[in-house]
Amino acid sequence: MKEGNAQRFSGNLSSGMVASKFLLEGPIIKDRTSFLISGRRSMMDIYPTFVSSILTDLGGLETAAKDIYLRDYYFYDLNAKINHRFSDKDKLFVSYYQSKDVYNRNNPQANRLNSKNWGNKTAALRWTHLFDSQLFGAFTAYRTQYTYHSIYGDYYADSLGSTENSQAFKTGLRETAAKLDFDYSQNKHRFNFGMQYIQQQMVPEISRILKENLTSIARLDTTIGQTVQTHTGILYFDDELAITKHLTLNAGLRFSGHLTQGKLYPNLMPRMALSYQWSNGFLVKGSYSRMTQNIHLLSDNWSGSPSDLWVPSTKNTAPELSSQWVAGFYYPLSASFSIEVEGFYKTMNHLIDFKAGSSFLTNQSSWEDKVVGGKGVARGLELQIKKEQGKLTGFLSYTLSKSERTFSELNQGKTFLFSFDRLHDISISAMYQINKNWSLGANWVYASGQPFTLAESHYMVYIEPMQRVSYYSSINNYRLPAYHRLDLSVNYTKQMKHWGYGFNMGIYNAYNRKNAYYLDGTPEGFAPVTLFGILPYLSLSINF
Amino acid sequence: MRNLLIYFILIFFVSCSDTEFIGFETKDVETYLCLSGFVCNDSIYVCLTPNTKANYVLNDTTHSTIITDISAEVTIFADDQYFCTLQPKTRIDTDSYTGRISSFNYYVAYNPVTSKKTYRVEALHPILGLVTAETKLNSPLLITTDTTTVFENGTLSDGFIWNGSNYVPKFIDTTTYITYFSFIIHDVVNEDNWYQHQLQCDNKVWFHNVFSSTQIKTPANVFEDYNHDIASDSYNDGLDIPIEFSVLTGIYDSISFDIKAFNYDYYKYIESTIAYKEAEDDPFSKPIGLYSNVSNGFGVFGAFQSYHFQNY
Repeated sequence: MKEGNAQRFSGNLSSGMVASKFLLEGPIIKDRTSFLISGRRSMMDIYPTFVSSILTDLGGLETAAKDIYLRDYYFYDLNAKINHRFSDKDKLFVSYYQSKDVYNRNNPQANRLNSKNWGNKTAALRWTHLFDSQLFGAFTAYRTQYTYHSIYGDYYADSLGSTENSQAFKTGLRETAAKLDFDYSQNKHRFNFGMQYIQQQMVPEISRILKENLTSIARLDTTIGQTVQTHTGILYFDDELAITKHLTLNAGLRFSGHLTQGKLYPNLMPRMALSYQWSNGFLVKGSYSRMTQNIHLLSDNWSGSPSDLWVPSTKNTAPELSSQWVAGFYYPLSASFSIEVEGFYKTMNHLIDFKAGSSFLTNQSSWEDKVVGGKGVARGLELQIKKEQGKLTGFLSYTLSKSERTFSELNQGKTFLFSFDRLHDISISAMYQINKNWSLGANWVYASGQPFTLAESHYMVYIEPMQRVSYYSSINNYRLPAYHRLDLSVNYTKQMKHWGYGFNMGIYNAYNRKNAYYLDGTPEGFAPVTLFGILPYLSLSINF
Repeated sequence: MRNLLIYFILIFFVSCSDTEFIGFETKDVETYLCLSGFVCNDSIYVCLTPNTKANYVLNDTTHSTIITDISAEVTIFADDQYFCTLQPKTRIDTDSYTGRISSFNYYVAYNPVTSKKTYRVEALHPILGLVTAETKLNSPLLITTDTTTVFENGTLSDGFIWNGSNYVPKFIDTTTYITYFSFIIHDVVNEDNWYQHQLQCDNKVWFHNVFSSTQIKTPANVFEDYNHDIASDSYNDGLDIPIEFSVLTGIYDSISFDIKAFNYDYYKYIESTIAYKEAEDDPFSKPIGLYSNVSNGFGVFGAFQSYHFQNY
C-alpha cells in the first residue's frame, strides 16, 4: 500500500477511453506528514453519442430497442490518506475510501426496469507504536458502510401517466470496529496477538412497488425491513515458529463471541500451517483453519441473473462455520520459472438458501420464513506457473474446483452444485518488453459458465386442478455458456529526468466474445445479456 | 496496419447481427409414468401419461415424447384385497403450451366400496415396471341442511338506459324473495378433511365473495386457491362446521350447492399446485416439485367425497 511520498510532490495522470485515473502525493511537513489522493472513473457512459454508437455497433450489442449498452455501466473510486510520523516509534495513518458501481439497463421500448448500484465507504485511523526491537503494536479503528441497491421490474408510460411494477432489493451494512494488534519476536518465535470489537448494523430490505398514476394507487410492500444490530468480540493468539532452518510452524487460536438478538454464538477457531523448504527452494506446505462468518449471502439465481442480499445471523440463523484443509508445493524450476500447486478441501455448515418455491418476492413476512439450512463442500486444485525474468514474463494459472450444497429440504435432499461453482478457471497473461520504451501485453481468461436451473422434462396431471408440471432432476442442472475473452495491449513509456509520459492502446475482448452476464428469457429462446463486446481503447498518461 | 484494418472490418460485419439466442443441449432424462387418479363416491379414475423431454435446442422447440405406448395393466386393491382390473380408454388432449396433440389412456371403475379404508392402484408397464400409489379414504360425512325463504320489497338494478346524453343505471321496483341457506358439516374427529364448496345459480358458478347478497361464513381455517376457497378442519376437528349464505332466489331458475371433502393426499396435491403456480409466476424462486405419493413415477392418487344439493 502506498503511503504518500514524504520527500517530494509527485503524481500520475492517465486518461483513457475505458477509465481515467489520477494519483497525487507529497509532503505536508517534509519527512513528517504526507498525503496521498487517488481516484478512478470509467468513461464509457460519458462518450459522445456517435462514439458510443460506433463501439456498440462494433460489439454487435445493439438490440432492436436501440439501446446503447456501453452507457449502462460506470464506476468510480476515491482514496485519500494522510500519514504523520510523530517519532521513529510512533506513526499515525488516517484514510478514507469510497467506491461506487452503477449499472442501469432501463429499456423504455421493452418497458423494462433493471438497475443496480453498489458501493463502499470506509474511514480508518491507525496508530502504530514500536515498543522496542521485539514488540510492535498497532491500534486501528474504522467505520465502513456497504450498500447494494437493485431494482428490477416493468413499467409503462403514456400520456395519461405511468405504471411501475417492480421489486427493489437493498442491503445496508454498517460496521464500526476497533482492534489492537501486537507483534512480538523472541528467538525462533514470532507471536501475534490481539483483540477486536465489531459492531454491525444490517438493514436487508426487499420491496415490491406498484405505482399506478392512472388510479392514484401507490403501494410499497416491504417484505424485509428489520434492522439487526450485532456485537462481536474477538481474541486471538498465534505463533510463527521456525522449528528448524527448513521447517516452519504457524499455529494459532481465535475466539469469537457473536451477540445477535440476545443470543450469543461463541466460536473457537484453531488454525495451523506447516511448511518445509529444502535448500533448492522446493517448498511443501499444509494447513488447517476453522473460520466463522456472521453474515449470510442469499442469492437468487434464475438464468444466471444475479440478485444478492446479505442478511445477518439472528437468534434463529447461526453464523456460518467452515473448515479448510490446504496442501501444496512450490518449486522454482529455474531462476525465472516457478511452479506452485495447491489443493484445498473446505466444508461449510449453517449455510442458508431459499426454500423450494420461495424467493425474495414470495409473501412471507420475513426472509427467515423463506430459508432453509444446509451445508456445503468445496474442493479444488490450483496450479500456477510463473515466468518472472527476461523479456517475456507472465503466468498461467488454472483452477479445477467443485463447490456443492446439500440441504435436506431442497432437491430431495440430494447434493447440488453451488450457484457460483466454476469447474474450470484459466488465466494466461504475457508481457513482452520489446525495449526500454515499448512493450506488448496479452491476457486470456476462461471460466466455466455459472450453473442455473432449467426443467428437463414435463408431465401432465389429469385431475383437478389440471397441471402441466416441470420436473427438475436437480437444482443448477445447466450452465451458462463459458466466459472467455482475449485482451491485447501495446504500451509505450518515456521517462525524462523530472517527468515521464506514456500511452496504452489495446483491444478488450479482441475476438468479440458475447459473454453472457445473465440470460434473458424470450419467446425466441434465451438471449445472453452482454456487458461489453469488442472494445478498442487508448489512454494517455503523464507522471511527475 | 492493412491486416489490422481488415480485422476490424471483419469483426464489424460479423458482429452487426440481430440478437443472438442460446440453445442448450437437451439432457437425457429418464422416462416415468405419471399416474393421476382418485377415488370418489361413485367411481375410481386412473390416468396414465408419460413425461416429455424439455428441449432447449435452437430451431427445434418441439417437446418430444419419449415413449408413446403407455398401455399398462391397472389393478385396484381395496384394503389390500383385489378389487378389480381396469381396461384402458383413450382420450385425445391438446397441450395448451405446445399445441401438440397427444392421446393418453384413462381407466374408470364404478361404485367403489366406501366402507373400505385404503385403496391402492398398481400399474404394471412392460418397460417402466410397476408404478403404485395408495390413499386412505375418510369416513362418509353427515351434512344437514336447512333453508328459510322470506319475501322482500326493494329496488333492483336492471341494466342501463339512455337519458338523452348518457347511459344511466335503470332501477325497477320489485318484490322478490331471499332464501337463507344453512349447511352443517359434521366433521369426523381424528380425520384430516379439507372442504371446498361451490354455489351455482342458473348453472353459473358464484363464489361467496362475488355476489354481494351471498355470504358464506365458516369458522374453519380457509386456504385460498385461484378458483375456490378450501377450508381445513384443523381448528375444528370433530366439530360442526356451519356454512351459511343467502341468495336472491327470485331471480334464478336454479340453484345448486356442492361440497367436496378431500383426503390428505388430494389436499396435499392441491396445496402444492397452488405453491407451484406461485413459484412458476415468480422467475426468481427455487424450483418446486409437486406433491406426489406415486412410487416409481410422478403424479398423485387421492380421494374425495362429493355432496350435491339442488334447490330447484
